[in-house]
Amino acid sequence: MANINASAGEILKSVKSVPALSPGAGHLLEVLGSGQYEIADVVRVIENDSALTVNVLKVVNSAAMGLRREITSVHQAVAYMGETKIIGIALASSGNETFNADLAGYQCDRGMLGRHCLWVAIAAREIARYTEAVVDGGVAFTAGLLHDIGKAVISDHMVALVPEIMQNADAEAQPDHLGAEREIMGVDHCEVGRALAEHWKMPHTLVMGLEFHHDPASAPEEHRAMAYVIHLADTLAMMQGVGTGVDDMRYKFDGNYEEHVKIGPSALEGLALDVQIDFRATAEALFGNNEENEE
Amino acid sequence: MTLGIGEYGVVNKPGDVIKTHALGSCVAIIMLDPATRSVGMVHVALPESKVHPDRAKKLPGYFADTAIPALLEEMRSHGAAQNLRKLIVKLTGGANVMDRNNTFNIGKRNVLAIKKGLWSERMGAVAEDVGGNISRTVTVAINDGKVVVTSPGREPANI
Repeated sequence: MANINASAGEILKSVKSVPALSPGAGHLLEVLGSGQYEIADVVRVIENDSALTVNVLKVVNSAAMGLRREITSVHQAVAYMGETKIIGIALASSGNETFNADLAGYQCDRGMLGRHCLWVAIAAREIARYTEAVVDGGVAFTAGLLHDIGKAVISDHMVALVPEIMQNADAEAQPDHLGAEREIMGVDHCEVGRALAEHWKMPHTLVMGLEFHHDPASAPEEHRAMAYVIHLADTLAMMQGVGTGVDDMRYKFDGNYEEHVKIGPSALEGLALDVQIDFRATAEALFGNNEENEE
Repeated sequence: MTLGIGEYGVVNKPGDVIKTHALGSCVAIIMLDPATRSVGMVHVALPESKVHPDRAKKLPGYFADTAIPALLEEMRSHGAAQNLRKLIVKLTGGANVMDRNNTFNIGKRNVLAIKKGLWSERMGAVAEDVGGNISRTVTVAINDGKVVVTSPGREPANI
C-alpha cells in the first residue's frame, strides 16, 4: 500500500521501483523512437527476445485474430498484421504489469488502462497520416500505447483522495483533472509518466508525446505535432467511452491542432468509428473479451 | 444484455437487465413499455448517418437518425403498441470534454439530434441526465424498471 501522504518527490522516486522493461522491449522502443527503422529491424529485435516472440505468436494465433492459417514466425506475423500491431502486442505483453494495473485511484477496473492505451495507439497511428509525414505512424502508435503509464504509478497515491477529487470536480475548484492531481499530490500523471519513461530509457520523441499529451501547445516545437496527435487520440478515446475512470472527460481540449494535424472535427469523428472497429478485434486478442457484449 | 457502442436491444423477461458502459459523448436512449413490461436501449455515438451511409446500414444504432427507427422497430417486434406516445423515453450520456471553443461538441449534438428524431416520431423524453464532463454507465432492470446511472467516483442516481 502506498503512502497516501507521499510528497511529489516521493511519488517521483517510487518510479524507480517499477520493474524495468525486458531488454528486448527496451531495444524495440529504442529502434522505434528513432523514427528511421526498417520493418526488418523490428522483426530482428523481437526474434532476438524469446519471450517477446512467444507472446507475439500466441496473440496473433488467438481465435480473436481470425487468421486462417497458423503463423509460425515473427516475420510472417508482421506481414499478416502490419508492424504497428505487432509492436503493440510485443510492448503490451512485456509491460503487462503496468498495462494491466488496477487503477484504484482512478476507480478504473483492471484491464481498462491497457484498453484505453490501445485505443489511443490505434487512433494516433491513423491521425498521424494527417501530419504531412511529420509524425511516423509506428512512432505515434507506440507513443499512444505508452502515454498514460504515469497513471499506473500515481494511482495508488490517489486512492484515499477520490472523494476530495470528486468534490472539487463538482465545485469546479480546479480547472481540470490534471490540476486536481497537481493540487492534491504536487505532481500529475504526465510528470510521473515522464519519470517512468526515463527510468525505462524510452527514446526522447516518445517521452515528449507522453509528457505533453494534455498540453500540446507547450511541447518543444519539433515534438508539437506528436503531442497534438496523442492529445487528439486521447480526447477521442474518452468521448468514445474508452477512458480510465474518474478523470474521463475531465481534461481541457486544445482545438488549435490544425496547424499540425490537417483534419477537421467531422473527419475525426468518422475516424473514431474506424478505430473502434480495429480496436475491438485487437483488444480481444490482447486482453480477452471483457466488454460483455454478448447477450 | 450489455450493449456495445452502436448496438441496440430489447429485454422483456423477469430478471432481465439491460445496460451499456461508459457513454462518454455517446447517448443511451432508453424506451420503457409499461404495457408489455419491456425495455429497449440503444448506444448512439454520432448525430448523423449521412457521412457514413454504408456504416449506418451495418450498425444503425451508431447514428442518432438511424438509431431511433431501429430501436422502435425492435420495440414493435417485442409487442410495443402502435401508439408510440405510450412508450416512456429517457436519455443519458452526451458528455463533453472541456473545450472552450466547442470544437468537439458531439455530446451536445448527439442529444439535440436524438430529441429532433424523437419529435419527428411525435415522442419526447420524460427524463434525462445528459451533458457535463461525466462519463456515465446506465442499467435498467425489468423487475423494477428503474433507470440507474452510475459514474466512477459518484453515487448511483435514478432518472
